[in-house]
Amino acid sequence: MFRITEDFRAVTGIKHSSSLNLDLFSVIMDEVTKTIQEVPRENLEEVHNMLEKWRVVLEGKRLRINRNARYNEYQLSMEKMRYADMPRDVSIDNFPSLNVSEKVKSKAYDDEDTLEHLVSSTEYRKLTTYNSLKKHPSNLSTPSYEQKHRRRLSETLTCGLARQCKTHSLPCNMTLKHPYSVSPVDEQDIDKTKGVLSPGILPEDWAAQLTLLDLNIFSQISPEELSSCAWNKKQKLEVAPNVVAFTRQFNHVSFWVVQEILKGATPKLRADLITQFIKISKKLYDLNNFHSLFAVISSLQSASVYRLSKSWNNVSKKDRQSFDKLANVFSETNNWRNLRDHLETLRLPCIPYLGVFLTDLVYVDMAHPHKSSGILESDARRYKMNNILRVISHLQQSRYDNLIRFPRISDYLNSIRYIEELHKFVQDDQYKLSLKLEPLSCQTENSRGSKESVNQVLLDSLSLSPAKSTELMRIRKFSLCKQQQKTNCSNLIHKSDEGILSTVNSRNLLDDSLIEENTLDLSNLNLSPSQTLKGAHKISLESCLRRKVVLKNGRKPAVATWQRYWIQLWASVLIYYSPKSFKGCNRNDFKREPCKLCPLKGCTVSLGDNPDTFLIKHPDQRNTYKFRADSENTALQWYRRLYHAAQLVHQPDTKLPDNLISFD
Amino acid sequence: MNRPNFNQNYKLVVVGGGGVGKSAITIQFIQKYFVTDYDPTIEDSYSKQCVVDDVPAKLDILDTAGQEEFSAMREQYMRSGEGFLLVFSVADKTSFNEMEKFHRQILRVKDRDEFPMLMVGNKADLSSQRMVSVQDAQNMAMQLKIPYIECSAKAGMNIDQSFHELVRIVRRFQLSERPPIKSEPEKSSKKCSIL
Repeated sequence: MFRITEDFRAVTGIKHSSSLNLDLFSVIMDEVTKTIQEVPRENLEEVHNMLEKWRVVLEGKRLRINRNARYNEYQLSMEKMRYADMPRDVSIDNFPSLNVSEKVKSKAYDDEDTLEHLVSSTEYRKLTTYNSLKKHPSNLSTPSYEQKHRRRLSETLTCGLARQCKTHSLPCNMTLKHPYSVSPVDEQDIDKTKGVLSPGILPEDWAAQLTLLDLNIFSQISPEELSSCAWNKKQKLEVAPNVVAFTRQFNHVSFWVVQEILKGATPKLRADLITQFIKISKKLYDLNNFHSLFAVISSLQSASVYRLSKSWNNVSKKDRQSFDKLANVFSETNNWRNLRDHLETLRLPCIPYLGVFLTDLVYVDMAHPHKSSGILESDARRYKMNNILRVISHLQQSRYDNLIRFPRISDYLNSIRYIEELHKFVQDDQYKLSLKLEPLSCQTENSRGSKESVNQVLLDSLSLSPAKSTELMRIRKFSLCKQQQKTNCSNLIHKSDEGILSTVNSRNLLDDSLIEENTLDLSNLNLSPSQTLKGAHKISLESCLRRKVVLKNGRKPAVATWQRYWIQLWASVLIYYSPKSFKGCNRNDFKREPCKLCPLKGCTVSLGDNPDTFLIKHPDQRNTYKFRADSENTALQWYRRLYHAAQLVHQPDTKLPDNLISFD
Repeated sequence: MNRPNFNQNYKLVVVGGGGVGKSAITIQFIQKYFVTDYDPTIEDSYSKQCVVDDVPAKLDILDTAGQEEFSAMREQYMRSGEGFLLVFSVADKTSFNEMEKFHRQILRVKDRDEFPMLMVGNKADLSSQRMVSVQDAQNMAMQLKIPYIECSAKAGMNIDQSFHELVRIVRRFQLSERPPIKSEPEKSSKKCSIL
């Protein structure tokens, strides 16, 4: 009677407590519940018996069934069951779905219809689709208890399944191959406010729908459209309608991505959205859909999204790395070498990024122009064009039959459109919104120290991640400030401080211009920095100090530790050098390159509670730091000098403009 | 004398609307003669070695001719550029009006107030079809604070000059932008003398 073991070959592939993927799970469930599906439903006792045996067998196979809820208590437990209660990771050890199905089955005896729908996992899916059909408003108005109940059950189940599936990165093109793996796509699911983060819709679902939309247009592109080279000319809509539609699809996807990310109100939320899109990108990569993949990648690199460094900082390192990797595929270096090489190694199905082909065609057209008299095209032109067209038409044979179209998602995606002619304004609006979300000025904070040395950061400059590049930007500015300082110090010490502060404290466009002006002056005068260095700066005090954060942005940090630095007081700027090793208080124990620069403008210096400590308060940035010196004496010395330095800056100077540099 | 850019490798990007002759300019510059031998798909089909002001330079030119309509990917490729040719056709008023848009977009992507750019009016040989006067173009260039040059890819006029001028602009810019780290050898030089 129990032939589960004989039939069920897949069991050898499953380890205790390993997580299952969705497809495997449904196959197993089908197999496991085979016997129960055959149970005559007239007899409650028999059903019970059957379930009991089934349970025994399953437990014999080391599948644990959670039985803490009694069959007759199912109503209560169902009521308690919430979406949030579902485990995030379903493993064999922890079989909540099974638990639910058991519970329901006993009740289901009263309702044959339900039993039929619930017994096997295959049927769960059917139920879901059935439910979504039933979601029609007329039915919704009078939902019987049973209906409500069933819907909730299916939701919890599928959510559980979905979560479980999420833990896997499925192999290429396997994602949705299984006919049963229809995710529940309810009307409810695409929540306009949640958008791409709508629960129940996985990255692979988005990727699949994008792919189907793309394929539909891509397959319609005719060779004549391509060889006309007219998709960017005035008559593009008549001559090359499908190429135009395909590019628009690209732009719309891109627009959607940016729009969605900018909807996130907090950096954390935006980071979640960015992460979600990175996940979708990965799925698109698996599906060989380079068209939408590039659309998503380029929108993540658009000015509006790329500059959101706070949000990017919240994206996990792993996700950022995978983003860098994907972005590298679309690097334009060496004539799109990466992308071209990758395309060559691929098998169908594949939707390419058409742009590269279009450029190639334009160049062939340029090198071998049409004969104006309309006689035979030159052989070379025909040959070269055909080479490209052949590749494209080969790619057009791609089929994604394994993907199932969810009308609701694709309708939603299609609904996100804008009028092509307004693209410029749309982009401007997005950029404005981006500026509003993370204003320029808050990006640079000189006190937020980087532990990397200047040189290291410069070496890292090749990396793509925005978070890194902002870091670089900061460092670069820092060094510019220093340069400026060097030139300035020779003449006007406090003048130079003004200049430094304006460049360091806020990073807006105006300040950028300031830096450039100054440095341009420098180069025009042909002063090498070493020249300007002569007799320029004087370090009035330097020693090893320990620093602790007391207040950061007006808030007390969760963890504050003492950190060792070699600190120099240079005019009225503190220069920090990070330590080389864990111990040592001599100059040699610290790095040669400074790691941060901290102007003392507006700072208040006070002595600390202990005699060997003193405090520096930055009122503008609402930061307070505590410093500890080796001895009381040093601390006092520091305090005096700092106090003096801060005073120096306080003195009002109106005779000369702030950014003036004079050379004698 | 210090060289401003040590590797002398420049990534130049050609931007402009569709049909302004970007590809013609690029192909003219890369492959002056034997244009028919040109293969756009191979790796080095967009790079060229040349000598500007007695200093050799390798130019990698990114031309997205044909991809103008993929407006969403524009910002991505702008990010990697070190210098930009803003090309319009003097016979096409719309392409001229787009200059400001490209200019702003580049500054936005670069997050700065100025960046090495050169505005290029192509098709200057078509004097009968000219829609943009030299004066208008110069005014626009003044407004954008970038230099302006006219050229003709068809006649092979001012093509090299445009690219070379851009290289000069990039060099000047990089010199002024160069972080002064290299110029801090004071400590290390002391150390060297001891050794």
